[in-house]
Amino acid sequence: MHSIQPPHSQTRSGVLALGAACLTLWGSFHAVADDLQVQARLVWGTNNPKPEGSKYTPLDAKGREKLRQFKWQNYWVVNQSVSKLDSQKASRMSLSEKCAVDVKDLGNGTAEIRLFELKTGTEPKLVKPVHHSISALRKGEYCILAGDDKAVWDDAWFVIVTASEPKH
Amino acid sequence: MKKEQLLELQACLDGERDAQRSAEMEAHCATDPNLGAVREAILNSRQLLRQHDPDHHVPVSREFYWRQIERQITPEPGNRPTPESWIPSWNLVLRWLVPVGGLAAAVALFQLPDSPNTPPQTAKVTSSTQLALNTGTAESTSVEYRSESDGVTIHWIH
Repeated sequence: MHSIQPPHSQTRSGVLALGAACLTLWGSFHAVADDLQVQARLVWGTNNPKPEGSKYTPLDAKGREKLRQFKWQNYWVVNQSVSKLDSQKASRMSLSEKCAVDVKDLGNGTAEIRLFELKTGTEPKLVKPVHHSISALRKGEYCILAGDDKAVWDDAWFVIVTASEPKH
Repeated sequence: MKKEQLLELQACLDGERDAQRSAEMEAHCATDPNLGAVREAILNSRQLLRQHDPDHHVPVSREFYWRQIERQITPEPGNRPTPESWIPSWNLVLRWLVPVGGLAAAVALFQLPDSPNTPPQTAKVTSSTQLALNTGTAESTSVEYRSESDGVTIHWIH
């Protein structure tokens, strides 16, 4: 004897299946978003050669290509750091004694990148917050915060934020 | 000296006339002291401007520099003003009622004493104040340059 499911039972099963599918998709999306590693590099733009004894490394060709609008001959990577893009809390990356950035997944497809100025004995000073598309970062887009170097005339600093392994 | 003669002299000095006409004008300047004096004055002014006109050096390429100016002049599509639409009379009332009501609610909120069970909001207020102060300072203003084709967004902070 065959049992026939009532129509409302089929509807309930369909809703449950759809809900399960949505949950799976949502979970997988968040799992992927949680896996994103963000790299921040502090770069010094200058026409001067590398200071003797420093551990600076030249910026890679892809990075130089992104900065081709600028005039400097040399771009020295002063420091770099990698952190996980988290939606719960901002991940702080210290790039020098005076500079740090933190990144946070805002949950709406964008990441907030905040640049801080560090001073001993005081709270970090927020210099600039920017929002950047996470999907753009995944595709290899560069988010760069830059400005004039206050210490050295006519030089500049760059904080280059990318996905840790940008797709080429 | 006629105005036409002066304009012709300027045209010759600017290279807008052929060699023959320019040579004729040179000969004319040599014989006419007034015209010769004007010629000297124009040449001296040109030389002074070339020597003393200040160069404006920018740390970026010409395209980048002018693109920023273009972006500042040209409003974004979303920010363009839309023409005023016809508003019904009750909409006019709502138009005033909503902000006035909001203002009254905000005033009432601040006037009411804090409940002892209300959690302290100090951290939140401090955070937003800090943000406002920092973004309001001159050094945190920035110019944004974005190129989708190059895959780069640059925030130049002043």
